[in-house]
Amino acid sequence: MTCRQLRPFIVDFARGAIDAAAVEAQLASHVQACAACRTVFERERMMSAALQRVAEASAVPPADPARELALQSAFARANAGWPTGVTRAWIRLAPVAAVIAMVVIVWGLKVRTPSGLFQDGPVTPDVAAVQSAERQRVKAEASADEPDVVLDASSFVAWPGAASGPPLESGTLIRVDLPVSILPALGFWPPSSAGGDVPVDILIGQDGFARAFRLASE
Amino acid sequence: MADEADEADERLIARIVDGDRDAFAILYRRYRPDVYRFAVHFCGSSEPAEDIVQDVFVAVIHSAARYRPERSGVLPWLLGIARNLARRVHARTVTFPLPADDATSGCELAIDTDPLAGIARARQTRAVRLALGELPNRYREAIILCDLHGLTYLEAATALGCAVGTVRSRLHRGRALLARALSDSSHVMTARIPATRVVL
Repeated sequence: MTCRQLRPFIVDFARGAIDAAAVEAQLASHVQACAACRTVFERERMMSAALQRVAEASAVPPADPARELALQSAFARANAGWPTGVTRAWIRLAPVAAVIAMVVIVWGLKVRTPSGLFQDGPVTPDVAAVQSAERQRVKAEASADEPDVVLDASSFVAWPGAASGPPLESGTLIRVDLPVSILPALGFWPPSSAGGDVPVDILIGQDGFARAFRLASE
Repeated sequence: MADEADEADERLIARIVDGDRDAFAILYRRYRPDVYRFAVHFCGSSEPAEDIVQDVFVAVIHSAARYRPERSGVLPWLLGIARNLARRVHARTVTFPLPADDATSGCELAIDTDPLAGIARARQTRAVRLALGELPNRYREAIILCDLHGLTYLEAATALGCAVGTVRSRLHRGRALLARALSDSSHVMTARIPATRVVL
């Protein structure tokens, strides 16, 4: 091997960082024979020794108990109430479960639900109240020179809890697809074999609450 | 207790992730000196070193779960964190003071059988440290990790987040720059000092 071939390895050789024994042996014999490479080798060896002394001369003061205590406190705070093991695995899965639940809910409703959709209270269809409200609405629309909308109010059923709200002054009719499973809560009892979605017209009052609904034909 | 002292680093990290306070204390006592030395060598001062050590272990508290034993040992991982923090500190530091405390104290010279050589070594160590502090970061950190802390190229590459070949070339280049800086500033690399300055 020539000086040029061996020179890149001389630093590692001086540092004792040559892995291959064969290369190390070649370097050793070459350094013995070549005065120029020996000079470089000696210089690098002195550099390593000087750096070693720098490392050894760095005194490390004893740990400050206050700092160690502060770290221990920080560790305790960071882990306060933090469960371990299986519980932690479940917690890691919680966001995924939340996303899945959200997707199921959105898929079930398919539309943005008006407020009041899931109001509590008994299902008490109040057809008279709805008819009265619908008459007022039709009258208001007619007086506003809007296109006539003829609604068959008798086909509407009061929305659960709608009777306790303020009188219906105006409203909006929207059509949504509701899962059949929701119908019993609205007073309809579909056959047990029924499934999927049904189109429903929902009358939304001036206050944004659902007032009445009817099953719509496709 | 002896078992705890010998407990594998990876096991300690796993316990820390599980919230084991004792494991954290063991890790802190085991590696604080190494992190402290690295910070002193990198910043050239003991003043920010304690803060860097503190920040490194705070990072361990919050990021222990990110440690990957298959990528590196715990020491290179800790020194990698220390390096990132020290770079930030060093970038904000205007002055570059030398460490006030040095193990080459008068006590050491008093028991030295060769006072001249002892003085020369102390001067040389101080000169090397000064020259090291003036090197660009990328060369200084390679020398500190490989030559002062004895990390392998692979471990240093993990700590620095670069390739092994890059570490090797930076180390060689850094040592060459260091040698040039020492010779340019007439710092001694051998045990030669002016005889007139020594009073025996």
